[in-house]
Amino acid sequence: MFPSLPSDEELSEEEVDEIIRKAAEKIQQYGMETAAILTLESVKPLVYIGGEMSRLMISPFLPAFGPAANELGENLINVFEERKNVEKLIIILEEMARGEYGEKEEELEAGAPQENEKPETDTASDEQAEPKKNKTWRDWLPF
Amino acid sequence: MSDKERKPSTTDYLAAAALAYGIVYFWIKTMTSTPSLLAYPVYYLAGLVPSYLVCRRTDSSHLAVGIKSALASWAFTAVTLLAFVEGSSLAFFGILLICQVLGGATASYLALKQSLSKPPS
Repeated sequence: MFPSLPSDEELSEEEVDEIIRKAAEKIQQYGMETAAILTLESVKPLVYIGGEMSRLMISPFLPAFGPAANELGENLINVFEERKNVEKLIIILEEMARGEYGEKEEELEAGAPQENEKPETDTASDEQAEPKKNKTWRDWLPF
Repeated sequence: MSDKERKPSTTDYLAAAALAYGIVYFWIKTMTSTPSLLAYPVYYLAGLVPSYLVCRRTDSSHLAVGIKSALASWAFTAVTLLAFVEGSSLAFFGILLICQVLGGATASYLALKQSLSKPPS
């Protein structure tokens, strides 16, 4: 009878993980992992209230920015109003800050590391794994 | 190392508060002739140093611990100065609160940054 709203559709576990991963990569792109962890840890108890407030205050204005923005916004609210998803994001950000993110997946894909591998290939794969970071104003800070 | 999450105890907060009071009291008693503008960085450091030491003793909620430590430091300093030092104005306590809370927030950032740079044990 009525067309279903984006918020009515249940997201699968894979879609949720994909949204969390993309959010983490966006935060990493701007070099804000530490600040994000600090903030997320502090607001974690209030994420449900934040989600409900977003539904009330932000959701009604999202369709004005187009269907893609509307769907993205609804999905972000749906995902990050659950505390377990925020915890997942914090864990991914911590792994990113330590440089461990993606290592497990790479190891699983590549199999066990071979001992007779040449050092040149190791450095080449390291260069491929770590994208070049642009210098930002934060690089000038002493901490 | 045990899997239990580390959290600072009340003693840690009290020790931090005493340290912060020490810094502020030392400044008040020794640097009376210098311009008061120089006092702000000292009050900031009086929030930063003890909060950083407390934040190093936690595994999570760094910001909450840093702010709590800064507030404990301010409360301890305010009560003790009211008791022992004459002539402290309300504006002084307001500035002290702002500087120490800012110091606490910076300390939590620094402590988290340091804990993330270390490999997990």
